[in-house]
This record gives sequence, C-alpha cells and structure tokens, in this order.
Amino acid sequence: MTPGEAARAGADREFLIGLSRAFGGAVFFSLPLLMTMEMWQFGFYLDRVRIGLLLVLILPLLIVLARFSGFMLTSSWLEDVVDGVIALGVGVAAAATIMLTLDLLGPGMSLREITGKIALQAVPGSFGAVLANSQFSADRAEQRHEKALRRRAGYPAQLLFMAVGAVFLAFNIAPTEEIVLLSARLGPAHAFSVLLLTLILMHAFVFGSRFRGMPERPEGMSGISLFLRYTLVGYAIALLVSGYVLWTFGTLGPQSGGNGAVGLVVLGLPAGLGTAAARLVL
Amino acid sequence: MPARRKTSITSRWEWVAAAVSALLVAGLISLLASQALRPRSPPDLRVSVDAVERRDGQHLVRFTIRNRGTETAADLHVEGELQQAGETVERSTAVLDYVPGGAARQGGVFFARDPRAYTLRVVPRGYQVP
Repeated sequence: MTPGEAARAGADREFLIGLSRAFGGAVFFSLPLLMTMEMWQFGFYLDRVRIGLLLVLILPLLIVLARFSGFMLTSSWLEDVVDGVIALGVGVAAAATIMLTLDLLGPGMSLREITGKIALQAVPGSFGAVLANSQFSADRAEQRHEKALRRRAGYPAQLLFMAVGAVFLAFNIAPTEEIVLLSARLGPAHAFSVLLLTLILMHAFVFGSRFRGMPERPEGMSGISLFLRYTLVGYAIALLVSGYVLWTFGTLGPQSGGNGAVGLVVLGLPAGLGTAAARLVL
Repeated sequence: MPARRKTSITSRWEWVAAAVSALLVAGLISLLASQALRPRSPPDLRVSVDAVERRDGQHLVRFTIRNRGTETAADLHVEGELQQAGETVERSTAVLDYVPGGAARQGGVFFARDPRAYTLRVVPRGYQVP
C-alpha cells in the first residue's frame, strides 16, 4: 500500500465513523417525534407545498450548523454544503429505518403517505445528524476547534444558533394536540403570564451563558443592552419560528380564530427556551 | 487602542434587530390585551351547508360551522336531519374536535336518502369546555 492509499483509507474510515455517529445522533434526536402519533397522520394529510418548503428552509440552517459543529472537520463552505445535504440524507435514512421497524411504514401505504411521513420525520433527525459531533464525539481536538470557531462567531451566526434551537423545540411540540388544547383553554391573562415567564427564563439563560464566555460581554454592556440584543431578539425569533411551524402543521391560519395569538405564546415558551439554551448547548 | 474599541462597539444591525423584535413583542402583547378587554361569550355557532353531493350510493352534505362567540367549543356534536312533514326520517352525526372562538371549521354528514327531496337541517347539539 502506498502512503497515498493509506491516507485515503484513513480518510474513508474517518468518514464512516462520522457517518455512523451522525446516524446515531439522528435516531437520538428524532425518536420522540417518531413515537408521536400526530406525526404519523400529518405525513399523509399535510399540504405537500408546506412539507417541501420546510425541507428547503431547513437546508441552509443545516449548512451553517455544519460549519460550526458538523460531523466532519471542514475547512471550506463547499464541504459544509455537502455536510448539510448528507445530514438531511442521514435524517431520511434514520427516519425510514425506525419507522420500518415500528411498522409505521409498510406495504399497503400510498406513496404520498410514505414520502410525507419520511420527509417530516427527517427534519429533527437531520439536526441530530449534524449535532452528533458536538454532543457525542470523543475527538477533543476537533471539538475544541469548533468550540473556538463558535465562540468567535458574530452576531448573525448567534441569531442563527438561536433559530436552530427554536426550530428544534417548536418542531418537537407543535404537532401535538396539546398545543391546540392549551391555546383553547388559556385566556389572555394566562397567555400574558406565559409570555412574561418565557422572557424571565430566557434572560436567566442569556445572563447565565455570559459566565461561560458566550457571549463575551464587552466592557460597559449593561443588563438592559443584553436583554434587548439577546433576550428580546431571541424571543422575537422564537415567535416567528413558532408561527412558521404552527402554519406548517395547519394549527395557525386564517381559520384559527382569536386564539392564534395564544397559540403563538404557548409554543413560544419551549421555542424561546430553545433559542436561549441553544447558545449554551451548541 | 483600535483592537479594544472593536470589541466594545455594537453593530447598528443589532439595534435594528432589537427594535424590530420590540415591535413584534409589543404587537403580540397589545393583541392579547385587546382580547382581554373584549367580553367573553359562550360559543355562538352558525352552520351553513356548502354542498350536497353523491358519494358511493350515499349523499354527502358538507358544512361549515362558524363560532361567533369568544370561547372554544370542544367535542362539538353536529347533527344532520332529513325531515318530511315535520317528521325526522333520517339522522346523521359528525363530531368536531375544536371550533375556537372567532374561527370556522368544516365537516360532513352522510345520508342514505337524497337530502334534496327532504327538508335538511344541520344543527349543533352539544360541546364541552376544553
């Protein structure tokens, strides 16, 4: 074996290890939704355009995530794009494998049902695939490198991390019947308390993350500045993401009535905590 | 010291993001406040028949039910009746999970007889508070 061949074999082995780690991450992250009854029904009756749009919008998030915590140590944007696409593919493979095993996919189902189910379930799995490295990797050097990269990330990248956290948590909770039930039950006064509680909890997260050096608080940045630029902006991102996810599942729309705003606040609680926690976890 | 100044300067865009976010959250709060000021009323349900069509030897009556109250009707039972000379000749029911206040939901009831030959009534029968 020439040195070149040996190096290639090493790279192949590295890639396969990364890929299996990504598959593990995808299963781990998507299992809660794979075992959620509502998701099985959404697969066949959800509007195809909305499912397609979801996959199109998720891809850029995966690509940027791959930049900062991909399952391979990447050096160029092209590699990150490839990583993002692979993550989506791994999400599809993980969803299909688990659903076949649980007899949620099988003969007698229409192609529409099968494709809808797999496409929807691939979303949480693809996040798991791309995050598998930062959560499960034993490669300390690679982790340190990406951690340093994330720490140096600018404000737009930080907003993107927040959006990823919001999408992940909102997506896990939005399909359930509980969101519809809660927004039907809660009056405006309760909804307002939920909104207030979300902001307080989120600010606690933002304030706490400061001590881990992220965001590095420049000299003279007041608590109010931190609140406006991270907590409030994070909450706005959480609300936008919640609105988008609720629209995708058909919970929020012109026919949802007066409690559409309440639904937004209800889903805004987990999504808001997702934005705040994403910057701690990622 | 140019390097140090760089870390303490906040991009203009961060303040733009903060301002847009403040507007969005304030909008949501005022929406909730306007709902809180509106008096609460129990479900006020109106049914309108959208279409009557033949389906596999049965007749399907599609309807829209609109809730003009502010409270949600959950587990709403809707009954369809075909009447002739004041006598009900056929009944059919549908159950709708939720009809939120100010919202509309659609459903359908099936009949063996042709509804066009009788007097058709589609009425809400009962609901529960979620």
